[in-house]
Amino acid sequence: MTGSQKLYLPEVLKGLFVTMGHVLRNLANPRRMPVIFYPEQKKDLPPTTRGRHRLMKREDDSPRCTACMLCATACPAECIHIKAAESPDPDIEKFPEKFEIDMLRCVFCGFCVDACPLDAIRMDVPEVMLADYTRESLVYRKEFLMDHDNKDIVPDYNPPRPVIWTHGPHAKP
Amino acid sequence: MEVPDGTNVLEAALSNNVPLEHFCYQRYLPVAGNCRTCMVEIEGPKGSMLTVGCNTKVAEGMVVHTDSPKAKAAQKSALEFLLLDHPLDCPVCDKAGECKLQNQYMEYGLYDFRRGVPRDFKGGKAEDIGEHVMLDQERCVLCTRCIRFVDEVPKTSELAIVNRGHESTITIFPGQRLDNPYSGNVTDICPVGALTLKEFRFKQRVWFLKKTESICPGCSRGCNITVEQNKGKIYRFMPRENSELNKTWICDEGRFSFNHWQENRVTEVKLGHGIRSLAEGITELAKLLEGISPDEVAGIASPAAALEDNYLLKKLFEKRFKLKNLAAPFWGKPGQADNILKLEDKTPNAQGLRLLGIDTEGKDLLARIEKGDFKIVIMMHNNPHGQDEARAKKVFGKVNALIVLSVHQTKVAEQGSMVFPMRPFTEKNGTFVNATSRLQRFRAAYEPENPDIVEASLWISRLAKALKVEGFDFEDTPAVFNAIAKDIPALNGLTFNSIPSTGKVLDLPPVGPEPFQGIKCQPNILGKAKA
Repeated sequence: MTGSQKLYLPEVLKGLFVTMGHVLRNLANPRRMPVIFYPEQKKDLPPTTRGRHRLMKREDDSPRCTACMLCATACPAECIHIKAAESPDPDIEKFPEKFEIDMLRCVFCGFCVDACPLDAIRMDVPEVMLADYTRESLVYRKEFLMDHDNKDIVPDYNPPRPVIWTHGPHAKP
Repeated sequence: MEVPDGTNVLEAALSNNVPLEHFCYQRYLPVAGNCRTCMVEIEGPKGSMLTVGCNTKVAEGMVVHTDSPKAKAAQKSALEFLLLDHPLDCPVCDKAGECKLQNQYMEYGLYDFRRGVPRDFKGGKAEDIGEHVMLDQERCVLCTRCIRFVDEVPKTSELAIVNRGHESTITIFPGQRLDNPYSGNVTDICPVGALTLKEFRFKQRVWFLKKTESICPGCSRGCNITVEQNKGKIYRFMPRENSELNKTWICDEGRFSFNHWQENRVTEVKLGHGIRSLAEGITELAKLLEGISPDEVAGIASPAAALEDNYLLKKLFEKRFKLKNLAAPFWGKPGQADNILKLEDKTPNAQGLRLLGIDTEGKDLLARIEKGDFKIVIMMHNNPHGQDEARAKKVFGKVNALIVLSVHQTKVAEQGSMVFPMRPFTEKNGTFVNATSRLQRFRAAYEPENPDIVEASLWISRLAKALKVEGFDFEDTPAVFNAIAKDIPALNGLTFNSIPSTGKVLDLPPVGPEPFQGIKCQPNILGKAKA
């Protein structure tokens, strides 16, 4: 170390000059600050962000989910609770009578999305700051997860159902 | 390898732990040989040949290859045919996780899909074919296990294959439904998801279920079952293989009794009208019993409770009260019996009471209770199969305090002045002795949430300690059983953990007939194989 560094105080003052320089320049021109004024301003999330879940729908607005429980099996946080029932649709065997995701337990790992064989669950709603006043309101129910009235924030709203060539008379070889 | 004369090649392999793919073969049903997956290569005088293992009898000096390239190729292509038009809707199929087709594809198949033309599926949605069974044509692979079962065991023959070739389907005869009292078994032996139980359909995926070896308490046959539960909720009872008793079958009555053990339960210790903790209840009861002469206490043991519970109650009466004031009168009506498995006596452990020397009639004791000879009656596990409120009022009318240890909130439990919750067989360890004197063990499938619900044997131990009676230092029920084994000559040398999983026949005269009277349901096992 040099002599001035050993004296300590001159170096501290030098640092303070740098700080004060930034403060004064920012006050003169606030736009140059790399700060987002949350919550008035929000940063754009990358398109691959894992956000809040949503359940995809068929063309007739029924859930695409068949209650196979693979997401609940894959879920490391055990936050997905499904109750299966016989579907009223003659072409479909079962559907989720109840589908709940406990967001207080969810760890946003995305395993449920990977596990789903029908692309029925996605994590593409760009909402990551989930907060509420009660625990109950953070257990998302089927109706809420299927409510897709968020076209402005979910651009790729409801793409066509993937072709499943392994099952059903509608399948292609 | 040495096997009894007449054993088939497949059974010889399986009983000697040689893995061999099989599908339509069921150990306790006649051989059909229609799936062709158990192909083996047998060396003969004219060179080696391929044949099905299930329909070939073992002969002296036979050389069989189960894993030669030729045999493996044959097994693989047989599986490919089975899967040709089978829908791959495993995620919605309730059999997924225990499906033979799934498991064998992973073990023996693993080929690439090479069908160039569209798949052809048979039917639409699952149809209702019986009181408990749904049939999904689409998934059926025509192994005929279910047909052979209804033909051979209940002998009701409701099922058949109609049409020919690719159009073949399994169906019920017109105007008939699959309503025999053993219909649930067809869903167990169905290797795919074609036949499913209405009671289990969509309720739970099988990989979530935890299985515990247990004994059906529905009647004195004591069929071997597994209790399958997840997070403390029982989803089904499944038969467990016991070649000496129930083979792989159970009756529907036993199978669908699983809800009964979780409904209408006593969940709290009730003293008078208040709810207390178990420790308070035991102290209060001990205080009550201490202020009374030992002659004025009667005990009612139960053929529905385990051997250990009855033994400790007997021991308590021997040491503290009068043994002649203990009996086990059974209040339920005798049920239906048949020549397959069901027996009239609908309690699992009446033979256990005879082993312990407890009177199973108890008419004399009931008459004395009615007369008012006793101030306190301790009633263990009051009979769950039907309660007669009027009769209970009449019998226990003159009793000062009726102490009830009960699983269910029955009419008698409502009359009790002190009611203690008791664990059913699904929540405790213990043993039953069935009508053919077979001692069998069951284990706790899960722990109840409330720690005040204790096993009856431990409850009696705690009461005995509170009454300062010696010789009741038991940590758990297996320890109680080990003590019984030292005490009773018929059980000498046994410990709780050394009871074989098929049970042990005791030296005690049987009170019921052997199962499967007049039914030839063991054509494939001819004795123990020797390696």
